[in-house]
Amino acid sequence: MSVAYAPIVRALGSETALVLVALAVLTLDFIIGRKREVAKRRELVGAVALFGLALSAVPLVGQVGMTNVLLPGETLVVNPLVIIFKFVLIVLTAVTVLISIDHDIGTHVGEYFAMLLFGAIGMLLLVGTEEFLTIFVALELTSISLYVLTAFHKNSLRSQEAALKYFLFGAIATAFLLFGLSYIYGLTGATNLRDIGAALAKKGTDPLLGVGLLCVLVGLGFKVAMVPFHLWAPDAYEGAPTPVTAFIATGSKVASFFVLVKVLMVAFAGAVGSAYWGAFESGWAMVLGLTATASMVLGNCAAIVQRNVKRLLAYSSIAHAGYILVGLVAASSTGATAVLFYVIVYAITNLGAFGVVAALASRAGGDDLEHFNGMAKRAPFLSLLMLVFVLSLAGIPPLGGFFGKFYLFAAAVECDAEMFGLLWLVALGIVMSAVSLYYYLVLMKHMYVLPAKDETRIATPGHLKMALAFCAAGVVLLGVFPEPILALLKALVVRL
Amino acid sequence: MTIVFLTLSAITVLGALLAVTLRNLVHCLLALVLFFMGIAGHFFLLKADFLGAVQILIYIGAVAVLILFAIMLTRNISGTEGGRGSLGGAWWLGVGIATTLAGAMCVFVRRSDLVSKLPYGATEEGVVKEIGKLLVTDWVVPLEIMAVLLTAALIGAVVIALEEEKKR
Amino acid sequence: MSVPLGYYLILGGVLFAIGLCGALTRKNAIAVLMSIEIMFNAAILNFVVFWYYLHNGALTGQMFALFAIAVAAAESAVGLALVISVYRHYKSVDVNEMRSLKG
Repeated sequence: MSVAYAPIVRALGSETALVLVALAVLTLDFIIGRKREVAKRRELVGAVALFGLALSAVPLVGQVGMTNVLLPGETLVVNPLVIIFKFVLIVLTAVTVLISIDHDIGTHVGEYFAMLLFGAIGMLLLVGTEEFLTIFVALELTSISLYVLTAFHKNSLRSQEAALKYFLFGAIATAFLLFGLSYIYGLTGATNLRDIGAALAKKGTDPLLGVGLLCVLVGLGFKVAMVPFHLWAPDAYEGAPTPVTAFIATGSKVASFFVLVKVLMVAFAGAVGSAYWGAFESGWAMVLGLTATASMVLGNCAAIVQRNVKRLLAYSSIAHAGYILVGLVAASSTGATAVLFYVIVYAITNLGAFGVVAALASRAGGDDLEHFNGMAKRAPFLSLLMLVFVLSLAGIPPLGGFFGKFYLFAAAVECDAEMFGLLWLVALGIVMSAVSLYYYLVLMKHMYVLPAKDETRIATPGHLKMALAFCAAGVVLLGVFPEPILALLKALVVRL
Repeated sequence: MTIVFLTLSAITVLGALLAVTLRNLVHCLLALVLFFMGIAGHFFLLKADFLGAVQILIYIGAVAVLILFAIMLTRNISGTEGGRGSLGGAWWLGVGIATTLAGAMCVFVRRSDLVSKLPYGATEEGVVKEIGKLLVTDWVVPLEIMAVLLTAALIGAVVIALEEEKKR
Repeated sequence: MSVPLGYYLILGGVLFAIGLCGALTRKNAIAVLMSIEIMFNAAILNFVVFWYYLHNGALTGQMFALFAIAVAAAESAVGLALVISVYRHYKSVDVNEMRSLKG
């Protein structure tokens, strides 16, 4: 029983680099930090973190040739799909770092960036594994980092309370996940996804499998904030420092959805069930069909009455989790492709939107809708970018959000070509998208139509503008040329 | 053997019930320790001696003491502050959900074909050695992640619990 | 001689339900945390039970339990730090208010 460590080290290149950078960031801030002012420290430490992130992308290039190198028990998997998502996560983290440099994150600068990097490491590992124990531990690494990051506004009670609430809900969800996994392990004797899938295919359905599957769905459903496990999201999003909100809403969602797709499509392929209208069959597709319905309705309706921009975006992200689940309910490789594509588009868009909020709210005095009055005159460039992000979230062509949503709904329609069994879900999704247009336009009205109390220009540093413009460019590009990346994802998903 | 199982289970369930119902937090903690002991007893019964020892060391030795410190540091708030119940005042909803879950579990377990399975003799010998070996071979990746996780939790806990210096 | 697997599964389910009940109904954050520990322990017990009864050819179940214990401990440390931090805030907020009232 010996293990070749060389491929492990090679496959873990990015993660190792990030651990070293996180420790370096801590040390650096400890040595040079105390005497300088906080803004300077943020710039210096943030620059090092950025450099580290760039460095950690290098090993990924070296892995491009490797396909499906399965390390012991599939605890570590390298294939092109994983590499793409690791790259996306590194880019998302880098943009988050850029947003953070400009934002007040308290005096523990080194610790902040270190925790951000630890969270990113957890996400990378989550993407790069097909084994439940590793998924569990990596998910916990991500979660713990995010709980801590949420509490980083140490002088604000809101931030502390949000973190506590996030933590308590998160811990309950983790307990559910663990409980569900214990049944999956008990029924199959395996912990890696492929063996579980094979064992379940052989076995008839056992009632305990239902319990296990449901508990796992609760645990993962919490991470992607789907109704009814969304209660933490609005509070955590509002209370956390805005860059952290952006990270929770994007990075952790990308990783969690990737895991959800893999778990459902590989391990539980035999327990799909059906959410077709009039032909419901118990299985995860039915459960997800119902939660998708609830998420879309509740997320969009609750967003209408919000007065706080971060809360509004929180509810909108719950609604978007609903749209994404529609693609999963289709339970086909087209559906999975659409989900992965939409997750990328959604993450870039939301990262940009929260980035704009982070940049403007701290200078406008708050993050309520009123504080954004007349932003188009005060910060024309960022307002323009916000327009792009919001229109993409609403699903207006030719932006990425439109095509993402289109593919999701198309996958749901075409998975049952005779009866169009999922048409009800798609129709609901389209109606709810129309509802969402209302509150997105309210936000735009505040920024473009209503007059500001104070007309002074808001100046933002160049690196921030560049990072956000990069996100906007991504959104537009994914909308105008979705084909290459879509074809790539499609080719890779088939081999999942 | 059945007697031992039933006694241990009674202790465990009693500890759990007391821990979630008693009003005084220190009493809750004592009940929780009883519960941890019961679980450890079950581990020994299931011939997982190493895990039983780990359970006592970590849960009773570390987690319980940690909770005791937290209770002492926040003694004044044993009432309503420090986080509301997740469901607001709807305690009956919580009890309902939990009772439904327990009932459903019993029904499912009875209907499952695993219910009457008996063990086919686990070996105790060399388990610790085997665990040690597995940790650095098959499970080396989770082990490494665990190391990062503990570092992150350590840094995080210190940063959160640190008293903020007033206006620098 | 041992009891059938079903006994243990019911025990695990009941313990998990008790923990969930506490987690949903308790008001004090530390009490919620204790309830969550009960839920974790029920799941860990399940792993060991399944290992002992069904899959004791490999140590996977024990390994999962071991990692789960470690994760739970780390998580409770972070959770208690959060509780203390929230508590301190409530206190300091109160104190500040009193000072500002005095003028």
